[in-house]
Amino acid sequence: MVNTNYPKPSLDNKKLAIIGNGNLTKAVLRLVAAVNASNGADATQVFVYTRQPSLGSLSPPVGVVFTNHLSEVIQRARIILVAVPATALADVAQKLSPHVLPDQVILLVSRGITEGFYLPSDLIRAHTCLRKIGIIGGPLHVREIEVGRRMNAVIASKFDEVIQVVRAFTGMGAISFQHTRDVVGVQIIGALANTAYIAAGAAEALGLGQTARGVLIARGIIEARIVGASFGANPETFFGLAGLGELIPRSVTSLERHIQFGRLLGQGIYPKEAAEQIADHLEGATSTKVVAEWSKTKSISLPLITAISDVLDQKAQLADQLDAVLSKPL
Amino acid sequence: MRKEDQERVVTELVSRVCERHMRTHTSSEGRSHLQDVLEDSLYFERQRLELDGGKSPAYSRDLTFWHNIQIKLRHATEPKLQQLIREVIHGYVFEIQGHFNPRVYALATKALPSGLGLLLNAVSPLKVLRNLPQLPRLEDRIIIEGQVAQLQRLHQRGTVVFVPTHASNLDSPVVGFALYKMGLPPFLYGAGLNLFTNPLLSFFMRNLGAYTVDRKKTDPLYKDILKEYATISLENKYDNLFFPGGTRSRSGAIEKKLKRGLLGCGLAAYINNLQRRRAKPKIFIVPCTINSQLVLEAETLIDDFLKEVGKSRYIIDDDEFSQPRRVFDFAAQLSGLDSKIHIRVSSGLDVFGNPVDENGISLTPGGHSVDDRRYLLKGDQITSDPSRDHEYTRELALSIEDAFSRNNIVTSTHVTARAIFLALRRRNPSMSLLRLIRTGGVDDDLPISTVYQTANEILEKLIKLERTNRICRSPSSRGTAEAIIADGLKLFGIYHTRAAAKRSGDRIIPTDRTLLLYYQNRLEGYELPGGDVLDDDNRVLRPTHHS
Repeated sequence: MVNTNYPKPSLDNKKLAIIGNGNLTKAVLRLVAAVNASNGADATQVFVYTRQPSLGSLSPPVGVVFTNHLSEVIQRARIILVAVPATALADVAQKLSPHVLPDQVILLVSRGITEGFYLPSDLIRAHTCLRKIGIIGGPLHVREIEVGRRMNAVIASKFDEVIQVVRAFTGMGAISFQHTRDVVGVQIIGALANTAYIAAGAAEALGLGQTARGVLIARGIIEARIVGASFGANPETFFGLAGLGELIPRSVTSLERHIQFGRLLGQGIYPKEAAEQIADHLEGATSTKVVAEWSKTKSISLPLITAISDVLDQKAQLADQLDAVLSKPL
Repeated sequence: MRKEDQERVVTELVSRVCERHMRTHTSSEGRSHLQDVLEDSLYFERQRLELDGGKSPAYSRDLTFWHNIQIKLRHATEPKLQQLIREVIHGYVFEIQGHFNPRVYALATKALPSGLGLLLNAVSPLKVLRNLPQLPRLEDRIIIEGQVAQLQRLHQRGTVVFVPTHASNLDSPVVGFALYKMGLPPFLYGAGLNLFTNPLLSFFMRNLGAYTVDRKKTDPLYKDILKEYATISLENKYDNLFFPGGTRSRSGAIEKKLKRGLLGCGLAAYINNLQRRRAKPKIFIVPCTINSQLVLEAETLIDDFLKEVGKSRYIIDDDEFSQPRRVFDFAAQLSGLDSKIHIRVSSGLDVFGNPVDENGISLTPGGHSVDDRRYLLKGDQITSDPSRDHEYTRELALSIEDAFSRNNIVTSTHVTARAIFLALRRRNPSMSLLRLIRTGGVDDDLPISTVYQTANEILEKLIKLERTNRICRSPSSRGTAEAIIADGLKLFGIYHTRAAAKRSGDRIIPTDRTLLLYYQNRLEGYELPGGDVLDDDNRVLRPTHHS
């Protein structure tokens, strides 16, 4: 029999689903509130998935629903924004799998390469039917969104529709999105920037000076580019907004948690204790180890990534390792 | 293709391709788009004919044809151009169109088992004739395993595109036979023009649904027509066979970086089916691996791989296959042994790369059902969108590559070659691979105990991989390292002009390192001990410079 019914239900272009309730989600809600204030009746509805939907005495902002019912959050949403650490993404993807539809757009802000060399988009692909994946990269500083500054960020997707949908959503907002199709490149530099931050923080604590810091950051980008080349990334991505554009401002701000982690290592604190002190997700540590392991099987030389990985595994002394890396020509 | 469909398909094909080009009226400089298309065709065809220099049988016919087009093209008005493009398209379609005849097919499938048996089992044509009643049956040589029942069901539920790995020119008749044994009708497929020059194969090709693909034709219009031909045939419920690697694997490795042009036809046909609200609209992609212990053309293929002489390397006119003597020798040698070809059918996929269940319903990786039509929605309409569809096809290619890798069947020759090659690499750690292959390294031979040791390391990892469904092992790669190596060496010794390796006392002599490379490459990409020797583009890795 001929099936003449086209797929139902259709998606709601004004519904945004958010998974994760961290700082980024708060910043996004602020953005949405600003857009909604000017849009009136055409307001965006935001559903936020959180384990504890109760806000205590506070009532949620207009147009925002906090709930622990995942299906309610996802249902008919045009866009699903996933703002969880890379290390939690596989779990989230598995939970999403029964609820999502092939025409939904998913946006990822997670940065990291997980065990088995999985990029965030690989995890979504491996666990769900979603194909319209967008990666948000570049210097997206939550604190700056909070104070209402204009932001620049990168949106990477192979699908034009993802770009259009995101632009439509943020059209009047405070973020300018630069578009690229280099999904792999943006994810690799996003993940490996953290290795460079760890090295930069360590160099600072060891008193190696600004030049050494610069060299380590530059090497971080170069090594990320080498890794990217193996996966078909565009070399230009690494010197664009998602690469240099992110590394320059971040490496000079002292708040980045990977820089702080690097500083603690530089002070001679053991990796495990340093991580405990940071008390936040350190995706960069996992990414570094995964990529170092991968480079061995491929016989690809990545001195900085290997050095940091060896330090994290306590196979080598930090000062010696950085010294050896710095003595190599770029 | 059935006779009653042939004319209809040709008419539809010509009108679709014509329409597509006529819709674009003028190019950027205000010239007629059709003029541009025809001039391109003329340019590419003249270039091809120049290179051909009279070798192909259709040379003079083609020369005259294009000469006439050139004359008519001058000062042609738009209506005249439309007529000319129809003429060119008709010319191409006529050549592509297979001459499938159902009555001949019935005959060919009956003749096939013994005919192919002749290829695979014959000791000599004379002996075949003498022992005709005792002819070893093809059933004993070709083992079909995997998701056969699902394939049969999918064929009932929609239209199937069968996508096997490709190592040898023997693959197409072998697959043809396997499909016949699985109770499926002949699948349409595009076979290289060079295959039709082998009289034995040509007979089967023509009658098993093969249409002609001339890989020397680089005219974009020709490629466009080939794709449309496959698309329309799928819409008309003709199951198709594509070799998605595009050509036989030169390196011996399982194919990566599949050709997406032809793969995209499945999606195009699905969209057309949905838009026209046809019954059973789904197109299923079924990957399969063809696994044999020895490959007839191994020497030529790996030489070609190492030469890397530009584009011409994709067309080999004179491999072992063009020498009937070699084919018979190969078959004769194989029949003396208990050598088998394993066809492993993997689970079906939809055109987006999702797995499907036995009823053809698309599934998420976790097993939840998916309404795959939603991938194609724009608003509430099913649409086609070249850029989006290209991405879906890329995802499909990735799923096929994964299926190939998981359904790859390891045999004794692969393990033997890999073990010897790894021992060689370890013995010569600072030597570049290409140099190692050329010179053989510092020693002339290796202690067999070292080879057993590397074989054991490899086997240990293979067993783990098999447990997690990452690879399959044939009976010939089970058992002790000693037994597997003995079997591998025996096979290496029987067919190739020079054995890849041989045993002398308790030493192993790696006689032909290029052949060792070829056979060991089948186990690339599994993170086996010692790492890979090919990079992701299937090039031999350069040595690492640890400066």
